[in-house]
Amino acid sequence: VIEVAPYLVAGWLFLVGLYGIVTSRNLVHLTLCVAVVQSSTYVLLLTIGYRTGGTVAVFKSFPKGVPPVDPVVAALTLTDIVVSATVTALLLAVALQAHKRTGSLDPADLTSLRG
Amino acid sequence: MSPRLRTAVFLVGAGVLGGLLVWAIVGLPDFGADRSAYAAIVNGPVTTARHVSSAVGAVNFDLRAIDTLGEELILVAAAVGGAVLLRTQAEEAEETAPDDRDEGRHHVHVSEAVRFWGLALFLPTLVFGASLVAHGVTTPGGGFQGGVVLGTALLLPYLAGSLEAQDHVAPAPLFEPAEAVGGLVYVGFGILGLVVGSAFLDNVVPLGTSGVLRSGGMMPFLNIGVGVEVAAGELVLLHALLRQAVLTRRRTP
Repeated sequence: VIEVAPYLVAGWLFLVGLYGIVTSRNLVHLTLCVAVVQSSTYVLLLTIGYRTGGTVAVFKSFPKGVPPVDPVVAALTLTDIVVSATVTALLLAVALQAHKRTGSLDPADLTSLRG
Repeated sequence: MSPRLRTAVFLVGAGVLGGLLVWAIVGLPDFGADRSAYAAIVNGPVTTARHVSSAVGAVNFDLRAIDTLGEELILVAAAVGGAVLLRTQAEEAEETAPDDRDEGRHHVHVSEAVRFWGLALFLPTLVFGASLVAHGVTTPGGGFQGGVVLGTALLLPYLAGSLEAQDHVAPAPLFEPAEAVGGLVYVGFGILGLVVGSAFLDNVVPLGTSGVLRSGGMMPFLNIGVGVEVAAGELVLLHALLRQAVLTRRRTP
């Protein structure tokens, strides 16, 4: 089971975050659910890059001969986190304006488009 | 669509997707299996050739340097988008002297402990952030991580005092120019490659000795550009949100 467990964790995070988005009654909660969905991709990327017994791919302070993990997916995870942070910031800004306009943070109250 | 129906539709879809995911996952290589030839190349010959000791840094600021430029532009777009979304609206006014005792605001009492530690940690956090930015090619640090810490340090005066104190330490009008300078440093080093007759973002700066601060050619400079950019972007966004909480008021008719 351990051979596939981290992949299953990534899949679970994705689905549970999606469930949160669908059932959310609060835009701030919804934004955090989007962050949960995004964190599933970090788990997936780092899982793909891991090798048994591997160390971090930084060589100054680690003994030679120990195999390092895949640095390409680690770098992609960094990109991923940056994108996640910017998406969260923009969604929170939109939530704030929606609350000012309508006095509500419930997505169910935001049904009509207004100019 | 009623919430109950929506949840039912979701559960059906999630069940199918979950089943497909499990089916796909059992066919994947085992966790921890060493399958990536690319990883071996980057960890070995590439880091050796570029005189760096952080392979992640080598990927971000050399092999995929053009992607990191795109990532920087995402940050710029997000900061500009946030500032536009949170601009003062037609029906709003901004207070010149913020007073948190206004109706509808609860006055936030800042405890002595928060004041003390906010000020005490300001310089150490600033130095730590600068160190993270500077060591992008030798440690797991780098411009992105260090930039976030730098931005956090510059927000501590708000936490310990007020938005005015924050403005005094790091004036808000400087954030967006600083962000532009960060981007310019990055693009400038990219164009340097073209100037000397190589490719855009080619690592044409002398590489230095592996393991020391000045190694990896232009990577430390790209890290500094990114660090400034990230710190400024973070400040633009958080400052826009803070203004909303502290200064922006609905104009009374």
